[in-house]
Amino acid sequence: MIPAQGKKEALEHFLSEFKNLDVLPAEEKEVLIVVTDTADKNEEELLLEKLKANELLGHITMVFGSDPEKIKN
Amino acid sequence: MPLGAQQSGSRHWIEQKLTRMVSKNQSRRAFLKQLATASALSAAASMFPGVMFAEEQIKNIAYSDLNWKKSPCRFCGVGCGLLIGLKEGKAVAVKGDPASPVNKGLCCVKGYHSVMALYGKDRLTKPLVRKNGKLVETTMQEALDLVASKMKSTINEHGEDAISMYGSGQWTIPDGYVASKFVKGVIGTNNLEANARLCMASAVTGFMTSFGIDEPMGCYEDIDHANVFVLWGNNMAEMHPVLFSRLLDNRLKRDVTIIDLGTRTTRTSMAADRSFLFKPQTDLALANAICYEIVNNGWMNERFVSKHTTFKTGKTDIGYGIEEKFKFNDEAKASSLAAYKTFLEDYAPEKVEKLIGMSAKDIKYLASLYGNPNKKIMSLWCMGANQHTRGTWINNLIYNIHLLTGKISTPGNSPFSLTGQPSACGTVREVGTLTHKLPYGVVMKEGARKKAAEIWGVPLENIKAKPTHHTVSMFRALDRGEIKFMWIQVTNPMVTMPNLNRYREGAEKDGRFIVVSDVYPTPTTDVADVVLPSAMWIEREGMFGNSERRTQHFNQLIDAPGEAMSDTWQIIEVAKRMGHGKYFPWTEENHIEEIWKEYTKFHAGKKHGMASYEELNKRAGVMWPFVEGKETKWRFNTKYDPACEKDSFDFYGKPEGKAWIWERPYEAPPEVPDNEFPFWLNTGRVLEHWHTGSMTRRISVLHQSVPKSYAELHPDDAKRLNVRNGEKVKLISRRGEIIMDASINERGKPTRGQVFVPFFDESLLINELTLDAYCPISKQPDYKKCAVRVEKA
Ligand code: SF4
Repeated sequence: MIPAQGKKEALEHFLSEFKNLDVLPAEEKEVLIVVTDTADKNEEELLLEKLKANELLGHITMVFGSDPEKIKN
Repeated sequence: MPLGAQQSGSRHWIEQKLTRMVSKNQSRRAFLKQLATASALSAAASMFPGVMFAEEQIKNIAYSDLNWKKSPCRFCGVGCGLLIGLKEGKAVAVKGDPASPVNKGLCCVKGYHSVMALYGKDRLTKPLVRKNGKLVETTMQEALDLVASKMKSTINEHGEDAISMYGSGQWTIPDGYVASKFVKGVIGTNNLEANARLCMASAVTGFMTSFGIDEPMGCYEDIDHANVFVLWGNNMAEMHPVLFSRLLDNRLKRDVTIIDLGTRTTRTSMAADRSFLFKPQTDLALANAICYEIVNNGWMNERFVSKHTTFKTGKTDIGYGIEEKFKFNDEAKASSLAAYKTFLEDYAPEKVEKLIGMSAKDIKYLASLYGNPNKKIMSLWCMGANQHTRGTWINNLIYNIHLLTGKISTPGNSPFSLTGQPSACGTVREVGTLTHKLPYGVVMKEGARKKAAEIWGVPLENIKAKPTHHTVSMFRALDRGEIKFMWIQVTNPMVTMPNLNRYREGAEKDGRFIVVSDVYPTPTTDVADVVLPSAMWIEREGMFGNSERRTQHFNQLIDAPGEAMSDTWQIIEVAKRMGHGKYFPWTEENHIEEIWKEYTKFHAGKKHGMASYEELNKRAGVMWPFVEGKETKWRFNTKYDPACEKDSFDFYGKPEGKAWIWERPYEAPPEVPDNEFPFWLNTGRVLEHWHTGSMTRRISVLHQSVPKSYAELHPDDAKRLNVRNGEKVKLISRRGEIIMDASINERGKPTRGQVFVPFFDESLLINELTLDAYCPISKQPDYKKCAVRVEKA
């Protein structure tokens, strides 16, 4: 996540209140890594909506790890 | 120690920190979280090179005990070496290969998630045949029988030139080689093209006209020697992210300046030391203005120029290929340094600053970087220069700058044309899967035809001496009905052709038979009569060739799903059914090795020798020319290139070993904004998506990251149109219209009067609006410039 200008600390604080995510702030750059851990798609989407709606957030880029058991031919 | 400090100090990339093993009893959920964190860290590293995260935060990040195997990345032309983590017969994880000199363990967000592209829910696993207007499942045997019989009957009724094959820079080298042998050598038509015509044909004609031989003289190692990097219309931060990280990594360690030249502000501009915006098409004038400064400030390397170059002029006012059966042949005439100096008079910075939209002061600053004898300099470019109605010319002009200063073919002095696809160089340029090419030389040359006939074991008269259709011309011929059968492999022209409406209607006309080999349904499979499911990437064995002349081999690591078959073997099966099996006498087990042995006969020698199959198998890629067990890193330089026969430099592709400095003027593009269509339309790509998105849109993380295409507007234009971020706008050109979300002050910012749209989204086909004008020399279309109107929707 890239915070709105000058809002990195405030965004970190805001994120710390969510139970279903971990935050890794970069040390010198305006970027935070947020790892979400949601039970299902619904919870994931709700969380994402809440995060996106917050004005402390400037930009979000999403990446993901995968579960081999879910991979089916 | 913070990670970034290590990264900058000893090139220990983030990924190397993430390879510790997790304990066996760790829960799956924790493992997944770690994988996700690892991916995010890598993405952050490629977006913010030098980014640091506290050691304690990453110490538990790891991969489990997977079985790791090497492969080049499936996606871009950087050609990163990957290690693919295998588990239970599936590819489940990716990390950068520390043994690969390309990426040294790093990878970008696309590479990281590349294996997910193998497992999309709608993967094509069975062949489909159109019956009563609908695609229905059939068996592979029946589908291949049908393709062979249709090809045969088309040839019998209408002749060889009624059939065509359209491939790709994502073809493996064996795919392209077998296609070339089959179409040109066995069937006997030059109707063979590849989508690389759309992305780097101008690079090829640039090399051929300036040096008489294709592909960069330098290599990625130049990045570790250069002091100045000038990026000509090249958003490297998104399109070549791992290489861009290497530039930035060097900047952390040494005296390095990065200059971004472009027509819009991008992530690359943000990371560069200086960013200059020029008006579309005026890069031609800018390059000439730099040369003017070099010549008039005494920065020319006179000894180099007199010993190793010669001056040429070509035709001017050369057209744009818009006319239906447009023909053009350039003619090189001898010129001189004196005549060249006179030609440059029109490009004094003060004379062209208005045209270019850059101040004379800035132009002079740029020229001084090239002119400074104490600075080593690299120019890098890709689509901005190549997708250009004067693409060959701008390639020539960048070479002119390096030739005038003698800053070429030495470590760190390097004009470097980058490619977009993983094997645009390996398969299309080296194998020669274009209408005029053969694996060695061009069809017009009898010697090249003789060599091919001999190696292929086909009658010489099979190989025709006249090129037929380049890509745009081929789709026009399909529309007109001169071509009746087209086999398309690993590419998606129903998203990528410019002026798309015309070519889609042409493909759908009665009397056309379209075969498409692919891994997912696409707008191109929508127009197909037969769809063949392909084995993808590591589901088969193959080789790719990247931007720095590096060939990389990969083994089959997993099974292909259902009846999916490699493109190489599909062609061989069809050839056998047509009675041509004797030309492809290989087994499924040994065919890739045998093809490699046969193919490399074309390139034997010091100028293009390739590594053996065994060597490729062992190493994380080998650069050609590979001579006596050694890679040639800098061609044309006697110190490094064993093919040189002269002192210091030998541009042996040209007579007398001299490179050509061309007089190429500025000429305006064919369609410019006017009262009715007042905006420039520029199209391109985004970091997360691979070209038309047929693979990356099926990787949920990449898809969610950029789920749909958008129209970037300058904030002032948006204000004037009363459009806010995310609101709908309608773009209208003379050829089509589209409604999409406006993007203001987000990823990129176009100049006023310009709109930028990425082309990855098949539900928002921006190429319905683009113009099918092309460079008359390279025949590569210009996707960067046409005129549109923008309205609030
Ligand atoms: S930079 Fe290109 S080759 Fe490297 S990992 Fe990314 S997409 Fe793959």
